[in-house]
Amino acid sequence: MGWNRVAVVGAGIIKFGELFEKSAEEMIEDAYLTCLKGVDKGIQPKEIEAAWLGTCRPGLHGYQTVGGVSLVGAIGLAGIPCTHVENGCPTGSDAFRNAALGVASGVYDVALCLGYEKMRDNTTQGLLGLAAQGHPVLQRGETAMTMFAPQAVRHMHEFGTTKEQMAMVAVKNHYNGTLDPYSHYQNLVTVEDVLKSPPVCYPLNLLDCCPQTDGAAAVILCKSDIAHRYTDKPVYVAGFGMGTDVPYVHEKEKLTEFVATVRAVKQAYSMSGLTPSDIDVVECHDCFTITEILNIEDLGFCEKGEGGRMVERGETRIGGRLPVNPSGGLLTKGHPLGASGIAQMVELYWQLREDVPSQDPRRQVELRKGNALQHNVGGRGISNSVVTILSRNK
Amino acid sequence: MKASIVGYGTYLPRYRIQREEIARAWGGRGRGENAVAWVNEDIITMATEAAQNALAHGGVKPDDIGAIYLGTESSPFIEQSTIGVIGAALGLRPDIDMVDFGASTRAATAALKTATDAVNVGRIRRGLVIGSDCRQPSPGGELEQGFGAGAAALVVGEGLGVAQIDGSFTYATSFRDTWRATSEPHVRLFEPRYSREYGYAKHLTKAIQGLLAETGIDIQDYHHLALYQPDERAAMGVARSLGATPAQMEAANLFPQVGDAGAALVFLSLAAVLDVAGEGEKVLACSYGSGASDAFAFTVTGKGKTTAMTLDAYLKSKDYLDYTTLLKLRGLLKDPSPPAKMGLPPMSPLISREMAELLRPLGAKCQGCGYVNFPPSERHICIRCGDTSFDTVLLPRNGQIHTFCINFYMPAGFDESPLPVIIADLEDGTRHRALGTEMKPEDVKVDREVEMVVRRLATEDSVNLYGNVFRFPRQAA
Repeated sequence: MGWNRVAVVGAGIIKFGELFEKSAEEMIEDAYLTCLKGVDKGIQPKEIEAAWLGTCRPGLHGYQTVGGVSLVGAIGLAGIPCTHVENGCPTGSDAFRNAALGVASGVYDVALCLGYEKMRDNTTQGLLGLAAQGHPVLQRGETAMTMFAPQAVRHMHEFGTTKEQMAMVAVKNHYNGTLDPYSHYQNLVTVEDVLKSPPVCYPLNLLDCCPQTDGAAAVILCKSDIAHRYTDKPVYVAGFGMGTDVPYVHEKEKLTEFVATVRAVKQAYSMSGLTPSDIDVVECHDCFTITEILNIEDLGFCEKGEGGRMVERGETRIGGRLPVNPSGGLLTKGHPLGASGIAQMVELYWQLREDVPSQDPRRQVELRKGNALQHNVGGRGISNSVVTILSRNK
Repeated sequence: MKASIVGYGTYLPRYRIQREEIARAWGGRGRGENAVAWVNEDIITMATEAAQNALAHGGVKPDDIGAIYLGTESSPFIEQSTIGVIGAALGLRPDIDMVDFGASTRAATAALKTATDAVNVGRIRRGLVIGSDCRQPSPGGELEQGFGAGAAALVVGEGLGVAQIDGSFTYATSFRDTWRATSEPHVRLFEPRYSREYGYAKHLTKAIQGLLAETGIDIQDYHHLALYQPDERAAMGVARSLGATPAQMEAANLFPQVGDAGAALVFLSLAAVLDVAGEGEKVLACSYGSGASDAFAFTVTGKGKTTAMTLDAYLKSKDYLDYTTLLKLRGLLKDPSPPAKMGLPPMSPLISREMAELLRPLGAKCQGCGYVNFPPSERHICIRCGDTSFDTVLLPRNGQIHTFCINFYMPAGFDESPLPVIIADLEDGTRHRALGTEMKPEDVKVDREVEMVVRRLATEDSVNLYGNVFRFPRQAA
């Protein structure tokens, strides 16, 4: 395929959580400065030629209007081109995809991609209020929960997936989260804790759901030819893909899969020339426990319907056949919409360089082939998905 | 030619309050029960279901209806016709006579008179007349023990049908007993005995006497009397004083089970009679409201088509509420938070554009692949195959749950919590998504049968938004 190879040469993230004392601008600035500092051989701000900002719902924190200027204004880079990307839950990863396209095209050599979301300046009621904002009749009462919970019910019905297997996703990701200093939650839970947590949207309980979290994360991309100016251990973009699906749930053919994911990953595998067996570690979109089960099926890591059993067998733990969400995932790290995709890139950048910042050596996954897969799915009708494959191999 | 009732249909809400339960809150005693409109029901939704049943019972197509008249005392609006929503939900033509009758519990019989005249003079061939009411009493007041809710619809038309309309007589004076000002939510009553004796009894008696004189038939020769019932005894008192017997009152005695359903009550009582009456039997019906009564004489001429829901089925499929829930339904006990704002207000052009195809759900069936696109106004290119030729199809109202969820955390403005979201496969295989209503979480299961009914989905800036929701088919317990 005719594109210039792209590398990631710097990554930074802030501690995710309820950042009541921090402005959105301060979150952006912290992620940006941490990212610059994370460039092994250093980088000057003036070397950045263009920027992409991922933020999904700037209205959530009250006053921010949409536009790339929120990013360049907060980091002193007003002047360079900056594009705001909004694309539902894959907002961060789609901003990354567009930044990668910018570099791959040859127009820019060095680009910044930053994602953030200020989720906690508004109330939980304010977020739930989105239930009134879709199509007034056809989407009345639709929230994130009501777009994933019916898939869980149908998956349980067709494949015998159990609430216990769903709970095991939360147990695993909470454990991983305790190893990740950037994770919002830092506590262990048991299957019983998950099953006994309050019902939120049947069949999902509170601990089946990601929290309401503030966060920001950033990466520096450059054309691979110049990557060694910045680091001796660059991570390469092996491929990416984006898939879409129909916007209304009644238009979906199957309610046991997200076909947008299937379409996105097919492109990413094709672009990279890799297959599921070439992937060592996955950061995927676990906004709810059931989502991770659907994802590992849709991404090709097991047969359709086997996701629950793959989790139960422990294959997705760190140390298992295919570690999934070693960062703790959205379930534990949190899901600041625009930041989530970039935060996944940051995690995989560290994992592929084998320099995961943790006191605990158990957090580093074992690399066999040196490839990692990032995935988000969401948006209106859970109808768009972005998959990125990163590799330490040029 | 004399106009006839060619079909009729009723609707009663699922929920009942026992009068004893009201007495527990306020003292006193209570016997029997009242039908109560659920949180997303009003006179528009109840009228819609009753009218759907009436069209089915009469075997009448929506296109054949030349007039729709609705009588109610409890419209949610002072300005804004109730009939726009009902007409769209039924699929009526836009070039017909549409009138709201109001301001009195006699509104539905006044509408029936107008429809009868329109048929008799040949202005219309078929007219739909609906009575629908869910009047709000003051909590703890005298009226609360008796107020019920419901709707009933008659298709009036030329030729023989279910019952011939033999004649009518109206008696109206300046008498005033109940009232509700524009700014007030609750109906008020000056004084019960004064209202019963100088109001109700006098006007009913005069109207019935007038009708008897006009038809030349003695009251004893009417097999059934279907009289408006403001309480347990008043109707019987009038009937006895006119020389009728309790046996003539038996079939229409709905007050113990339904309560005073306002403008709907006489039509409901008439339906109760027509369900059991034999051919050739004579029926006398009489309404009352605000110092006026309309009396009607009928001769039973046949039975209509069998319909899924009869009055008896509505009477038997019921659940009881406690008084606290009743207060919530009436908006007297509520979360003070402002409702979550919709992306577009209910008066938005989007609603006008899509109203008809959403309320009486229409699909655009692709001529290429057969997939039914919904809603048609948003899909001019088939979402499955890209074809651009379609046939308009009516979506079935019944189906089975494909999958679902039940949301326990709804923002203010959603009246039911927990709130089911149902994704169902309809009888023609079309998949459809709507909220569930009147469902207990533990009863919602994959493959269970559901049916679509029109309910109020939201209210914003005092404007109601209506749409279809799924409920379990009503069945006698």
